[in-house]
Amino acid sequence: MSALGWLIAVIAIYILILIAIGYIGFKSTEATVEDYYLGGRSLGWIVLTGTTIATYASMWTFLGAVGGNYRLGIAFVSMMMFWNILWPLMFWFLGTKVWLLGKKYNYITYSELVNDYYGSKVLGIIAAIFGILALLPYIAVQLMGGGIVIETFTHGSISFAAGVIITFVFMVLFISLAGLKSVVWTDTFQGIFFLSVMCGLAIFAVKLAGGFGQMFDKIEKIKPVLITHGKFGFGLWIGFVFTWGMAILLPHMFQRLMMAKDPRIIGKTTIASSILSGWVQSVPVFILGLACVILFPGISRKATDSLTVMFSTKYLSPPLAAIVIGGAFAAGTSTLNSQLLTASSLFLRDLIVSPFNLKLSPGKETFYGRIIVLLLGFLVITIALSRPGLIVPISTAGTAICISSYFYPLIGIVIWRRADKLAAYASMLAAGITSILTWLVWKFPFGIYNVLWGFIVGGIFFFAFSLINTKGLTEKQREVASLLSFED
Amino acid sequence: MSSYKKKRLLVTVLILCWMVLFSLQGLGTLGVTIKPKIIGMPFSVFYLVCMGIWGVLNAYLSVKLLSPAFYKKASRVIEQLENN
Repeated sequence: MSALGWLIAVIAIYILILIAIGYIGFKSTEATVEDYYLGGRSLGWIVLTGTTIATYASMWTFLGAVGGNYRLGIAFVSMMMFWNILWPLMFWFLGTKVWLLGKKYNYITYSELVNDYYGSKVLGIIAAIFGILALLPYIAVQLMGGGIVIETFTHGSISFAAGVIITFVFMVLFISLAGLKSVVWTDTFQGIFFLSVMCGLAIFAVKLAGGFGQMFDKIEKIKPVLITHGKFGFGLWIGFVFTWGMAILLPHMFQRLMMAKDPRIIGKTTIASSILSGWVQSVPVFILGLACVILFPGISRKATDSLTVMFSTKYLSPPLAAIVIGGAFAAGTSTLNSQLLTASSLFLRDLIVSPFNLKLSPGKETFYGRIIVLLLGFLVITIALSRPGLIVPISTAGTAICISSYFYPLIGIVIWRRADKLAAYASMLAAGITSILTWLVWKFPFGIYNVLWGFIVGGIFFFAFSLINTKGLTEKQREVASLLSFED
Repeated sequence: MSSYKKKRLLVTVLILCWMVLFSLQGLGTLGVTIKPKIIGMPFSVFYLVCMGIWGVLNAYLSVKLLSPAFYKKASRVIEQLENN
């Protein structure tokens, strides 16, 4: 059978498995909004860990991170491991409080939380807009990844554009069929699948490179800068760390803070995620990236996003290579399905239902949610087809908009209780706009990443407005403060 | 200082030290040399491994030390919600 034949066979089997899991999820998804978006707040730690990691790790890890390690070596993996352990810590410190608030007040999105706490519907609308703005490039990256994988694997027989469309059709159809109850299960399956594939590839790559010691010796001779950190600027390094280390603030990740069945699940998920994300997600891509320096010297910067596929097609038999491609699809779909579903909930609940006080039945809301998934999907495909750049920089800079703008209003709820809605407005707008300007207009001024500019400017506004706030806490804010105090 | 506050302080200090030491690698100050090689690994990779282990320990300690107070509060809230 040809390589293309194997790819079709593997993808077909893969889709059948996902549809089977999705169907079970679809049957058990009631027409309630909580069931559709939050898996009924009933997840155990294995599924919660699986869905959170699979949602977090995407084509970014499978394709972009291998290329990043190829280009930057230890400078890349050190920041990757840092943020991959930082986000589980954030999952614990913010997750305990957000879970409790979600449980008590039935929040589903970040916007609902800040709306209610600060008593402002406009704040939720701004948050939803920034959330959608951040998600669109990130979703586009998953489709681009699909296009790259299919194009490279078939040696150009299927074009990038056709690959993007195939990925899009597959993913949107799947999400439209079922809500989050099936997404979390398919995520768990896909997470296990792609992490296993990545580990297998790394072990094989080390063997090809002559073993661990040999691999490092060769790198020392060919390109020692890859194991001595090199000249990657600290402003960018720490910016990447804080962007992805705070990724729990991204709308699709934030919803996962409210999905646990009971409080103990949050603790178990934190520990499991720190091991799986910090080690199993970071180390194999580092090893594969370094091995590729030996096996594929002199690859152009743009082509580094295709290294995983190039490695598989050159060194693996067609069926095994097709399984690796299946792994890449698993990484992409498991992130994209959650992102599209969350973008749909932001659009419908925070921009339409809540501001206009619409009363939709749960069944109708679920129906409209599925329509919006389709519409957003068409918008994203046009971004992906324009192929705006490399996977890592696009998704990181886009993500920074959301992280920096969501950070301070949440800090105002869980830690710093002097903030009122004016401080929340000012910090959200200032941070969001600053991170957009320092990405698209004045690109990373003084070598400092846009998320840090967003944090700095947003922080100045947040604390300045908080300190001039002479009004006391509202009744709601006092209630939340007492709820979030864990001391006796 | 209450026992909860002491535990929270301990966890915070541990995490901050970890963040500073990890950042020093990013800054190119610490853990960026090839020699001495340890178990076949360049020192930079060995430093990274140590930071990775410390990071996971941070997560474990945070949960272990701070979870009892959270679980207690959460179960009280759940009980109230069920009664309502």
